[in-house]
Amino acid sequence: MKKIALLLMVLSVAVMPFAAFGQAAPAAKVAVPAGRTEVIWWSNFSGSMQKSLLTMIEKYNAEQKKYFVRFEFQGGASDLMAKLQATGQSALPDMFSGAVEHTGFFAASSFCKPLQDFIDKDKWDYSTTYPHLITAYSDGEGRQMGYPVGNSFAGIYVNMDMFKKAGIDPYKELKSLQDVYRVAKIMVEKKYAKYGVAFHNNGYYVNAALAVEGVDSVNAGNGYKGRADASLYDKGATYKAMYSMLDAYQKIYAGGYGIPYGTDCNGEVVPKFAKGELAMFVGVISFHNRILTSGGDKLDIGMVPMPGCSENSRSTGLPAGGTGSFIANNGKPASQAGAYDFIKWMAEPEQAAYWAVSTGYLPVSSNAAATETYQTFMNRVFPRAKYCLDAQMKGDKITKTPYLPIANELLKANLLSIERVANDPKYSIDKAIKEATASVNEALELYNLAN
Amino acid sequence: MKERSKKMKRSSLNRVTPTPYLLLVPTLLLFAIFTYYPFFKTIFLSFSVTDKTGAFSKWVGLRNWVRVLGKESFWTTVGTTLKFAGLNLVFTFAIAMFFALLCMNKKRGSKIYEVLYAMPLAIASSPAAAIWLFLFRKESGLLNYFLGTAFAWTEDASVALIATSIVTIWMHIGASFIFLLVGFRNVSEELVESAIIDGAGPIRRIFSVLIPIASPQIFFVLFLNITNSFKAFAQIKLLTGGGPSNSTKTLIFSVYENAIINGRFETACVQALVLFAIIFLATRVQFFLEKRTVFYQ
Amino acid sequence: MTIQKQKKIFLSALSFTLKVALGLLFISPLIICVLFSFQPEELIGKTPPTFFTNRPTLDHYRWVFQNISVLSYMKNSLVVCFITITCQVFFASLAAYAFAFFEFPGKSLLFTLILASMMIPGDIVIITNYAQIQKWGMTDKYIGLVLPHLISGTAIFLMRQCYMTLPKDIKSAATIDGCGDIGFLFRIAMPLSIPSVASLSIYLFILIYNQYFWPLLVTNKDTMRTIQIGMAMLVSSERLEYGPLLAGAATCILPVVIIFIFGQDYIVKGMTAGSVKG
Repeated sequence: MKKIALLLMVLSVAVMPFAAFGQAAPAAKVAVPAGRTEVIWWSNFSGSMQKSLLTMIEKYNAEQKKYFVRFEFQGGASDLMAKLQATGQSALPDMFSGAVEHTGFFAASSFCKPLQDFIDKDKWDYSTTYPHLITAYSDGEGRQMGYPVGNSFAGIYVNMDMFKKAGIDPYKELKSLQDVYRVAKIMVEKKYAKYGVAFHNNGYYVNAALAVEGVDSVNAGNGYKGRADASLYDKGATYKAMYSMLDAYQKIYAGGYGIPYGTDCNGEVVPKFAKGELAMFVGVISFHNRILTSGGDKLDIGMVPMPGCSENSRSTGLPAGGTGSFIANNGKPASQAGAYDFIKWMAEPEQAAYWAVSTGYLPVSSNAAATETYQTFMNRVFPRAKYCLDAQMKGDKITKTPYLPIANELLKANLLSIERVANDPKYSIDKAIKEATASVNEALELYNLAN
Repeated sequence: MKERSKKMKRSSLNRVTPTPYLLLVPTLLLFAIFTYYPFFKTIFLSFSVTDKTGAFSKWVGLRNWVRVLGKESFWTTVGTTLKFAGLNLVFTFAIAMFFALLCMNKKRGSKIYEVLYAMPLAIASSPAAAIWLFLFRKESGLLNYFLGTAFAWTEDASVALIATSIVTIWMHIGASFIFLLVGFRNVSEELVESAIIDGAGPIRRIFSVLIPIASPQIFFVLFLNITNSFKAFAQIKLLTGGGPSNSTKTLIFSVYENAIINGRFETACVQALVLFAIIFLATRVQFFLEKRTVFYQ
Repeated sequence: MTIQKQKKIFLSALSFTLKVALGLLFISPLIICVLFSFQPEELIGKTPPTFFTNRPTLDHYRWVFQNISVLSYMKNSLVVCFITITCQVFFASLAAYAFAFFEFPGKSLLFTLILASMMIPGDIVIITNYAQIQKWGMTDKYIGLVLPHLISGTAIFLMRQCYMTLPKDIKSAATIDGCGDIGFLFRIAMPLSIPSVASLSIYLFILIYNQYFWPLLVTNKDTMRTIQIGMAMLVSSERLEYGPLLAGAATCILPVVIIFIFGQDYIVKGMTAGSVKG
């Protein structure tokens, strides 16, 4: 008895000082004001991006009296998707965050209500949104499924000083991954840089490279014209592109010209780039802020669009990346309308500019980019972003990533194929391609069999 | 008083009362709903294909099993699982044994270091993974600093499995240590003393006296470690996510991946049943060996 | 004091010191976690590492407490633990009593079934259970969080071991004295099993407190979430800074470590009850 009493005493004493810190009431603790419809948003945004979102939500809730948006964090992207799948219709939220490459997955699922249903009734003019985003967030028939929030741009951060010294113009020379290999080799062998190149390790970059190359990943018009049931990785032009891409990766690592594939980007690659040791870093725009805060603000940084796979790269347009908002199919029209209203609000130029400035994502529309908020930010911090934005505006030849009902299997298969050849200079590229093709085929087959 | 003795007589005569069954009702009810029903559903689903919401879609019989078991990558996963289990078993047991031998004799203040040796068992896998993530960093990680090495512990396929094993072993030593310690402390003083009188040195004493007497605990600990390492999950998810290049993808992680990430329930069910079979087999082997070699006083 | 005695004392002190040192080395990750959580972020990443900084800061803890509703999460974790432990102890005692003191047809079959349940990996039942809890509208409620865990094979096993060590004569004596089956359970067996109950409670506390995936599925509202989810949010986020990560980890493990240190005796007694004869 005595021991338990002692224990309880110690516990309460231990916990007390923490109370002194005071608790900032998270948005979840505030009750819905009377007369408002609650809008629930399930998202995987965390850390500083979540903070920016919460600030925006507060602003929205203060600016209008009809709706009350509530942000609910649901873990990582895969946790969120799993939860959405496993939740019954009436328990679904009103809107959710999703990555653009999973648009096909959301469209085929039972928990997503196409945004188009709301746009049709409302005639919302969002035409200044960058064209490649409009396409990427719509289904095969041009119906809008969701709307972008985080506009991620895949490309190569380049250390301009090194390139100047080497006499190479990155914007002209880095058109394909084979070029990246060639340049990385020069950089390291001629000692312009300690490391030639580093890669953000994610299967998405395979989609992106193939899209820039101009080849389809799966049949049925890359999934846009009917049900895809076979991967094209081992056939024709796509095969040639895959081979060229994997070959480039393998040669880079076999020659030791790159930072090992899979190295923690935020923890190691970014500091190295910021310190001026790394010539090229293939990543997404969201690393930009991190590079700047790690000391890279003293560097002259260029941003080259995502390269293709081989010299046949058509380099047309840009693959879309990042996360957007989708409306959930929970059968609650009142709160869904609120979700739609909130999505439109976030797309307004000033709001979108605020978001882009605070997170490092590119703005989602040219209107947002033209705002003074964004222009000041860009000129002060990242003038090269102008190039990316111009490239986005030129997207009349829309480059497309595959439109598929399966999501993670594709990314995993892609990632594995790169890992195989990057980690083992002797791994047969044909074998890696075969493995990836088999995985994707199996996933497609199972999906089509069951649905 | 009289009614009570009558009742007693009745209950002592009528040995089979409904009482035990009633006592078991809450238990069986809960198990039925939350353990057995899902388990049988799993078996059922393993012979079918599930749709996008995870519900039953089509019956395909053995095709699922053939497909899953026929994949090379599945057997690689099984191999990784066994390798992982082996590493965990050997090192957890060895270190726990070492600690237990150190603490064998209860001395003044021995509680202090006993608590230290057992403490990691109280640490949950999330914070443990977080702390080790910090230690495993390549550039300024403390592990590399103290060992003088430069491994990318969680990013290099050749060491990732070792890294996850280190964390798992660290977390599991505590439980094994406690069991072994109690086993050793249970060895009667006289036995040890008579061994000393017989001229047995410390090593002899350990092998001829301690280990046989404590063999029940030793076997239990071995068994505990085998099953724990098959089920170790959270640290793998947080440290390496099954990678790099699937080098840390164990069977349980593959189940999670298929069920939660890929939404392929039927595949997850097949793999889960294989996992269950492996654990069951290990149990049987342990029970069998226990009968043959364990010495009960 | 003879030289012999002095030597003995010296050796014993040395042995003690070495053993403690080894122990400290063994839990050094925990020590490092706590020490570094008070360091300013710039120092954390540097090598050679500073262990005792002269600029300790509470910034990381402040960040953790302001951005993650730690107290709310802890409260939920403790409530869930309390409900689960109470129910498990109660139901397990009932079941263990049945197995230890009664003979009835189907006894060994039922016991094997219960043992078998311990081998079923949690992950395969978790989705079905989530679907069930949803169907009954129990998400975001304490009942939903605890329902599938109100009994476990481990609990029954432990309590049965405990009851089996009670000499059978006690029951006969009690029966003669006029105590019914149920009376025996509540008035004699349970009080005698308190050490096992204590250790089972502590063991379960550690287990339930450390749950992650189940609470993540069952709760959507931040107000209902448990501490491990808060912790994992720190890990899975951008992983930019280690200060808050370590502070969060330290906060998370504190209650459990405290309970462990104080309850170590009980844990040892309970974990090993019945596995040792006599």
